[in-house]
Parts: sequence; C-alpha cells; structure tokens
Amino acid sequence: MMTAIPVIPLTVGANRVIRGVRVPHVVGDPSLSVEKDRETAMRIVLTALRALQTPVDEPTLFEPAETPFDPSLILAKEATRAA
Amino acid sequence: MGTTIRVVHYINQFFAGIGGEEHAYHPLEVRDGPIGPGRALQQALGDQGTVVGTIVAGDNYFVEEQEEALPKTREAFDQLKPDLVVAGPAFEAGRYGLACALVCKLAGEQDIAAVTGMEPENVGVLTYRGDIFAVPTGISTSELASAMAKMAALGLKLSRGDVLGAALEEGYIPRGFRHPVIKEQLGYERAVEMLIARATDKPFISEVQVKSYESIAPAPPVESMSDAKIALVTSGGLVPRGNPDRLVSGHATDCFKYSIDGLDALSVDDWESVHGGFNTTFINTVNPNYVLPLPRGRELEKQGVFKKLYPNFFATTGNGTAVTDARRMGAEIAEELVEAGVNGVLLVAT
Repeated sequence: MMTAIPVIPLTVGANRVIRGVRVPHVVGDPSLSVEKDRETAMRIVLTALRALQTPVDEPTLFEPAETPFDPSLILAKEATRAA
Repeated sequence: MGTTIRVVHYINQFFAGIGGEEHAYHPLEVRDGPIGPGRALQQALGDQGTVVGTIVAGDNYFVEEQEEALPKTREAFDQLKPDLVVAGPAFEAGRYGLACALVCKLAGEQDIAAVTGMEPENVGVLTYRGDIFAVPTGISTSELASAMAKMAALGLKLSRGDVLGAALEEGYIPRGFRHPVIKEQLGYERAVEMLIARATDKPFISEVQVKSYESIAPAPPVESMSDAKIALVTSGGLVPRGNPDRLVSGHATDCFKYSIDGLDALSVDDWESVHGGFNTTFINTVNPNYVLPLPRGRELEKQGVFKKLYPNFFATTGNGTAVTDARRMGAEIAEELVEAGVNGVLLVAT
C-alpha cells in the first residue's frame, strides 16, 4: 500500500506500507520537474515491487529512499501528456 | 406481571441432535417448542416468554444456500409470529455464527426483536456487527447456560422496546454506533478524574473506545517478479470523468472496476477523482496518475520487470469507509484477482 500517511495503515495492520509523497499526490510530486516527478513516482512503484518480494511478519514500512534506483527504468519518450 | 411473549429459537443441526458435519446440509425445518439448548433458553425466560418453536438448519445449508434458507426462515417467522427471536449461541463456530447473525438480521428487517450470542471475533458478528445484537461468549459450550441467561435478559428488553444503553453497560458486543448522551458531570471534570485515576493506578473506563484491529497474516512474497501479474487498486476515488457509476465522495460501500487495457497513462480529460477527503486539484487538473501509477506500471511491464499489468483497476473512496465495508470490498477485489492469477497488488491510499 502506497500512502502519504504510513502510520495509519501500519496501525490498522496493513503489512507492506510504502511511503508516498503527499495525500493529494501520493505517487509523484508536481512541484518537481517532469523528469524528477517521474523519477519520484518510479522510486515509489519500485519500492512497492520490492515490498511485494520481501517476506514480512508484521506491518512494515518500506522507504523509497532506500530502494536502489535505475534511471533506465524511465523511458526517454512518453506518448501521452499525462506523465 | 407482564404478558408472556412468543419466542422462536434458531439452532444448527449439531445442537438439534441431528448430527455433525455429515449433516451440515440438513435443510431448514421447524419444530414445536424448545429442543436442545432451547430448554436452557426456556428456563432463562421463566414465565416472561415461551419458546413456541425452534428453527433448525444445517450450517452449510444455511450459509451456502441463503437464497433458500432466508425465505424459509421468513416463512417460519410468519407461521410462528415471534415477539423475540433468539439464535444460538454459536460460540466460535463460524458458519453457525454467520447463520445466527443472518437469522437475527432478517428478524430485525421484519421488526422482530432478535438476539444472538457468540465469541466476539466470530465472523458472524464481525460481518454483521451493526445489524445484530450479540452477547459476547467464550469458545466453550460449557458456558451455554450463562450465555443463554444473558441472551434471554437482553432479548426480553429488546422485545419490550426498551431503550438500550451503551453496549458495554448492557452487555452486548459493540455495534459500531455512537449516540449522544447527557452526563451529569461536565467533560473536563470527567477527563480530570480519569487522568487522576490513571496517574494513581486506579481503574477507569475511557469514553472513547479505541477499536482494536485484527492482525492480518501477511501474504507470502512474490517469488518471481518477472513472471508476476500485477494489479492496480486505489482508494483515491478515481473514476471515468462524469462518474458514470456514481461513486460517492465518502463512506463508500462500493468499489468499481475500470479497464486500463491498452492505456499507457490516465488523462485528465478522461478521469477524475470524486474523493471528498482530500484536495483533488492535482488529480483533476494535472495528473490522475498520482492516485494510480499506470505510466510507471506500463514502463516496468514493457521492460519486463514484471510480466503483466492486470487489464482492470479497482477504485473506491477511502474516506470514512466503515471497516466492515472495506473488509467486504477487499474480499471482493481479492476474489477476482486471485481467480485471474494476479500475484501482487499496488494499492494507492490517499
């Protein structure tokens, strides 16, 4: 679960919690450049995939900042305006 | 002395003496008077109520064949004309607990007072908490007599139409409702007394009952991400622009499924959030993908980080949603995704 307020899902028992940016833009940051915004979102999604692959035995927080990041995972061109 | 009320008792095949699991599909039948634990019920009611009939059904029958069991139960109510329905107690038996809860819920819908008893974590009360009055029991049938006494007392109150006090005072499992009450003491006085009691290790009862959540066993990790099918789910109120299914802005009881097949990103022209609990400006004017990371999902899919994105996403509004509704919606979503062979879910919660 990606969320801007990890304490709530951690309290109510969600087992894999990923820290997002802000409530109105959990996966991304419109205050950044388009490239950085994409990178932020990609880091969060990659962290979610890392969480899915990690065994846990209790509600656990996964930090995007701790996820190894490969910039090549962001495609250079994107067809749509909604990035 | 008041009049004697008519009481109908619901029990399963086991307590009726028909048999165990091998008779769990025993169809619903009505018998005269009390049987099995109904005798303890009659004793507890004393001269205030008479057990006029007993509805008996197998646990599997009642839970799995509700389309048949519920109308038959209603017929039995019509025939027996109870003032009060008592179901169980079911203790920790899950299907029996569900059946008891369904019987009480149905009685309530017919304006018949109803009470059951079960262990507070029984799926029956977890599922229908707000629809039923259930006395908490332990897990052992040796508590039958004491449980029945509590159920009878509560049932008699309900059948008289008495206004019930708080769950903990009246001895039923909290139903998740709050009612305004007038207290003699002002709030700050009560708060200070509680604080002093706490500081001096004296007992006190908080007026805000913090609900303890069940712990959920974590799913095992995805073994091979490159072979995994991944689904997207959001509680960010994301819907096609115009909100064709009329998803509500809060206290949602429904979730909806939308196709993202062939889409690489969500456009603000076609999607919007109807969530009433956060500022949706960014979602609705800049980028709906902030509540559903479809573009990043597509990139990772194309690069083979995982195998496939599930072609539908699920959306609800996670704003004031009741836990029971959330649990049900989650189960519905999980059922479809498991059936489709999805290995992992990326859920965005706003």
